[in-house]
Amino acid sequence: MRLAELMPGAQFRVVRVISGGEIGKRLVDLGFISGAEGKVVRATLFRGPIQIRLGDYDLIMRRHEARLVDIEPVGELDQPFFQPEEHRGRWHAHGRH
Amino acid sequence: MHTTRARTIALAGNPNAGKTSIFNALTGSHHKVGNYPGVTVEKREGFAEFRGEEIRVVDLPGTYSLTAYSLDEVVARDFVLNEKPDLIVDILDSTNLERNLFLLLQLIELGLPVVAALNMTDEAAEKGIAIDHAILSKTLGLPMVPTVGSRGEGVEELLEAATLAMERRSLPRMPSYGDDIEAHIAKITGLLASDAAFSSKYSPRWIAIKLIEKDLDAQRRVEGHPRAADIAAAQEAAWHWIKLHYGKDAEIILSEQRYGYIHGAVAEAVHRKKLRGISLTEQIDRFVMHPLVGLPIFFLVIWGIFKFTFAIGNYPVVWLELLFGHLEGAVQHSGLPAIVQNLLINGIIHGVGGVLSFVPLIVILFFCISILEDTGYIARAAFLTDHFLHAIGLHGQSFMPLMLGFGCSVPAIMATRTLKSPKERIATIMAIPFISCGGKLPIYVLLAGTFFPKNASTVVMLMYAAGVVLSILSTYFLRRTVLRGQSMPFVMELPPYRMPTFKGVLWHVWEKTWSYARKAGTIILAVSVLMWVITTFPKAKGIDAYEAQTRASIAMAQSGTQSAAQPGSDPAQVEIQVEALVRQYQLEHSIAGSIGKFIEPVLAPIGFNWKIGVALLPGLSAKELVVSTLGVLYGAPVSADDSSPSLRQSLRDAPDWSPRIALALMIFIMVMPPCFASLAMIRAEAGDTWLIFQVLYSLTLAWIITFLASTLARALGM
Repeated sequence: MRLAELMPGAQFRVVRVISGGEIGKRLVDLGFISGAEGKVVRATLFRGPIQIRLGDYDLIMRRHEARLVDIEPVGELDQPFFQPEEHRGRWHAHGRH
Repeated sequence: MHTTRARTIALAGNPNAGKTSIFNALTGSHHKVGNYPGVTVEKREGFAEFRGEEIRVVDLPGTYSLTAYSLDEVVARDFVLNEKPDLIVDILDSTNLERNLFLLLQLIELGLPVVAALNMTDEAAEKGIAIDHAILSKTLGLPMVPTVGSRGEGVEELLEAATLAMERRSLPRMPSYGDDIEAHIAKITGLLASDAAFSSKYSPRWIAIKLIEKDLDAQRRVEGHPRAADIAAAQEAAWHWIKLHYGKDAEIILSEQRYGYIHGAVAEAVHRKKLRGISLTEQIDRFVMHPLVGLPIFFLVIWGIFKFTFAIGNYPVVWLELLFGHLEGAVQHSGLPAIVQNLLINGIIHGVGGVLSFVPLIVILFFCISILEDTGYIARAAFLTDHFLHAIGLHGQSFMPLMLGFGCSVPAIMATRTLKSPKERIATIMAIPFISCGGKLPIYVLLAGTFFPKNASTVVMLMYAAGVVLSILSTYFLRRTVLRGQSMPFVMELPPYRMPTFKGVLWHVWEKTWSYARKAGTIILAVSVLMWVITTFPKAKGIDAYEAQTRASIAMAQSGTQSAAQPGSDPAQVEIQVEALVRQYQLEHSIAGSIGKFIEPVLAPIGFNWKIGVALLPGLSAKELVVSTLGVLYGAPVSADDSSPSLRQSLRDAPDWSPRIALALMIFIMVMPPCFASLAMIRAEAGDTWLIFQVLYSLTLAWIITFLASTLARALGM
C-alpha cells in the first residue's frame, strides 16, 4: 500500500521508498527509512498535498511524491482511513505507479 | 602554521534549525550578505570575536543532506571542499535530533574538525525530550554544546569549543556503515589514497562513500585520478554487492545505515516523555491548515498585510514628501544656475523622490514577510496553495511572491529565492510583473475615474483581475514552452510555529532593504536623470517667443470673457496657464517628444498617439510618472496630481482621447515591462537572458493584447 492512499488519521510504518534517484534519495534522507513510523495528519481538498508526522517532526508533500512510499498500516485499518486508488475521485487521472 | 589570515568557521545545519539566530549571535552586527559565486544562493559572512581573536564565520545554506542533487547542498559541500574552513559548526535542532544528526554524519565525513550545537534545547524540553549531551558527544565522538540561539545562550561556550577543536585539529569519529559496506569503502578509500595529491585535496573516505552512492560530482572529481579505472571497477562492485544483498539502491541503503547508526547513538542519550495534550502548533494548524477555512484565513492574512502596510506606510511617505519639498525649496534658494536647479529638482528630486516614497512601503512589506517567514507560516501557505499552482506549472512556494506582487514587484522578485527549482523560480519571476503593483494603481484610478466615472471601481478591479488571469495564462504557456521541464518535488518540512525575535526580524528587514537599495538605487538615479535629459533637451527653438505669445493670447482671451462677468483678470491664474503650456511645448520638442513621434507608427494601430508614447517612457522609470507626464502633455497646471480635476478635465476635453483609448492604455500599462527597479531585480535574480526575454516578451504581449482589446472595443462601438 502506498502512503498516498491513506486518509487523515491513519498511522503507518514505512516498508520502503520505491523510487531511486533524486526524489527517492530525498525521501530517505528526510527519514522515510524502512521501519519508520508515522501518521497522516491532514490533507487538502481535491487530493492536494498531505501533512505527515514522521517521528519527531512534520512535513508536507504532494500525493505524487507520497505514492513513492510503500507502507503498511499500523493499528486498525478502519475504513475512513483508507481510500484505494481505484476509488479516487472521478476527476482525477489514475496514478502512474 | 597559522598565518595572519583569520581562521574560518563554516556554519552548517538543517533549514529551521535556528542557524541564522546563532549566526547573528556569533557575529553581532559585523556581517555582510552576498551571493555564493555564480549562483543566487545567499551567502552571509561575518566575524566573531573570541578572546581577542577574530574568527571568520561563513553561513552555509541550510540543507538536510549533502547530495549533488540540490543547488544548496552542492554550494554547501563545495564551500567545504574548495575553501577548506578550519572547522564546521553544525547547528542541530534538538526537537528533531535524528534527522538533524543525519546531516551531521555527512559533515563529519568531509574530514574536517566538527563541533555541534544542540540548539533549541528549551523547545526540546517543552516537548518532553531530554538530551544528555555529554553521552551523545561521547558516542558520536565530537564536542557538543547546548545552545538557545534566539536568546544567545551557549554561544560563548560554542565559540570556546570551536576554538579548542581548531587548535587541536581533532577529527570526530567516523560513523560506521557496518562491516560489509565498510570493507567496500575501505577498498575504494585505499585506491583513492594511493595518489597523495588527491588525498591532500579531498577526504578519500568521503569521496569513496559518495562514489558508492553514484554521486556525479564525486565521479567528476576522480576523473583525473591515476587509478580511475580501478576505482570505477571497485565502485561498480560495491554498488552491485549492496543491490544484491539489500535489494535496494546503494544510495538508499547508505542513508538507511546512517539512520541506523543515529538510532543507536540516540537510544542512550535521549529520553522522551510522552506528553499529553495537543501542542499549540497543532491547535493553530487545525484552523490555519484546515481544508476549508485555511485559504480564507490565508487571504485575510495577505489582506491584513496590505492594509497594515498602506496604513502605516502613509506616514513616512508624507514625511518623505515634506523632506523632498524642503529640499526643493533649498535648491530654489541656492542661487545655482537655472539649468542645475532644473536638473536637481525635476531630474533627481522628483524622479528619485517618486521612487523613494515607495521605500517605506517596501520596508514595511519586508517586515511583514520576515515575520511570516520566521513564524513558519510560509510553509502553511505553500501547503494550501500548492495544488492550484502546481496545475499551472508553479509551486506552493510561488504564492507568497505572487501576492507580494500586488504591493511591489521588487520585494516579490526577491522573495522567489525560497524556490529551489530554477525553472519554477524563473517562471514565478516572469509571472510577477503582470500582477498590478501599487504603482499602477494611480494610473488605473486616473483613467477609470476620468472615462468611466460611473463604474470606476469596477473597472479598476477588472484591471487587477485581468492581470491575475494574464499572469496565470502566461505562466501556463511559458512552462509548456521556454520553461518546460519537470516540476520540483514538493516535500517540505513543516516547522512548528516559533515566536520571531525582534532582532532577527530587524536583521531580515535591514538585509532585504539594503539589498534593494544596492540593486535598485543606482539604477533609479541613473534612469531619473536620463528621463530628465530626454524631456528637457534640446531646448525648444523659439520657446521664448511662444511664451510671450501665449501669455498675450491668454490674457486677451481672459479679459475678453471676464470683463462682462467679473471684472479684473487674475495675473497668477494667467501665469499658471502660461507655464503649463510652455512646459507642454518644451516636452513636445524634446528628445522624448521626438521618440514619441518616432514610435507613433508602432503605437498607432493600438490607438495611441505620440503623446501617450512620450508618457509611457517615464513609466519605465516608475509607473506613477506616467500620470504626471500626461499632466504636462495635456497642459494641466504644474501642481496637478492624479486626483486633480484639471488633469481629468484636460483629458476628457482632449479630442484625441476616448474611453476606448483609456482602456487600451490601462491594458498596455498592465502588460508592459515593469519599472527599472524591478528590471534590475530580474537581472540580479535571473540574469541578462531572462531580463531581455522579459522586456521583449511583455512588450510584444502588451502590443498584441492592447491591439485585440482596442479592436474589440471599436467593434462594440466604444
